[in-house]
Amino acid sequence: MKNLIKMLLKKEKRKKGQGQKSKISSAILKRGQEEIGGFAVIIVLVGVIFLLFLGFMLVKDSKERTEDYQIKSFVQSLLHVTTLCEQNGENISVQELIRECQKEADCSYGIKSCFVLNSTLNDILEKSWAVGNAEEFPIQGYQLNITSYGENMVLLRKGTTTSNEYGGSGQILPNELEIYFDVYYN
Amino acid sequence: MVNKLNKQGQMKIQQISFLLIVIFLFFALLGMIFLSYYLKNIKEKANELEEKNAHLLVSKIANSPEFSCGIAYGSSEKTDCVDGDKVMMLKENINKYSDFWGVKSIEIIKIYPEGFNRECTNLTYPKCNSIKLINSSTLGNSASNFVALCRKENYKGEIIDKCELAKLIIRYEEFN
Repeated sequence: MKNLIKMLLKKEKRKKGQGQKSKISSAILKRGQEEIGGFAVIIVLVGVIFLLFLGFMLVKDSKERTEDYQIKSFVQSLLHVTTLCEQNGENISVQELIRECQKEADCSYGIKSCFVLNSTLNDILEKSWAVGNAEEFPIQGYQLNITSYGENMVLLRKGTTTSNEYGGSGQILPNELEIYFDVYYN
Repeated sequence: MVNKLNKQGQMKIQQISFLLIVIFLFFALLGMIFLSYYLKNIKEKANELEEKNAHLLVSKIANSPEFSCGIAYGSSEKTDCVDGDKVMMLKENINKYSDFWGVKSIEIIKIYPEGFNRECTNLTYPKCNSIKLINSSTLGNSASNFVALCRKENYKGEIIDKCELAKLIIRYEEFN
């Protein structure tokens, strides 16, 4: 009888022990789950912040190309300059000379208008934009391109091209004439 | 048993505090990077704005009624075109305008075609290459823009328009 009671008590104790063990393991599991959840929240938060930062950087980097006011005003003013090409007893402007060159017309005394245009533009560019070595001059090169109906009519280049390019927006004249002027800085 | 539990608790607290410190340092670093980038951008923006303001000022002066060609040289109004004859008249009465544009100096230098290398006065104009309007001895920032310098000329008994390429240079005090 005594033996039976002892066995029953032992069984009861074992049962109690097993219950306590399962309670402890479930508490540990719960805590582990909480930690994992917290960790995930932190990772998500950091990820979101990183993405926001990256987005901000990329938006700032894709800045529009700087428009140079000087280049724009240069092209504007250049068109008004009076040239040596004479027609009907009057010296015509660069803008008119471009139109004459497009028509392949001549100036007075049989001088080709395109020849006068090229030499005039070359002279003006030489005097307006000093190109030289990087130590002395900030400008490394330039390119003036006049197109007629999409085809090159005048192309004047000097120096080297760099990635630091500034350009006035293309000046459009009647009869599908377009003027592009780009300056390359170091 | 109690000792062991205490030790475990202390370990946990240490872990959490370490984690908090790491997170704090990470965010602080991120904040510093962001702030330095932002401040650098502000500085660049300020310089850009100042440059833009200066160019706008030159453009404003070139296209103001006292300087601009208006419709005197063609049927339509030309932009970036300065009337040389008008400017010479203005030069004579510049004392009345000395504070009008809020700049330290205004000068127009002829670029093309190259002419006589001397200052324009009533006696030398138009055979000269620079028109000094306001001329202050104090230094300041400068800004320039290309302009077409036009004038009326007598050619074989006829009045004709003649435009040359010039640079309008101003000196101003810093905006900020």
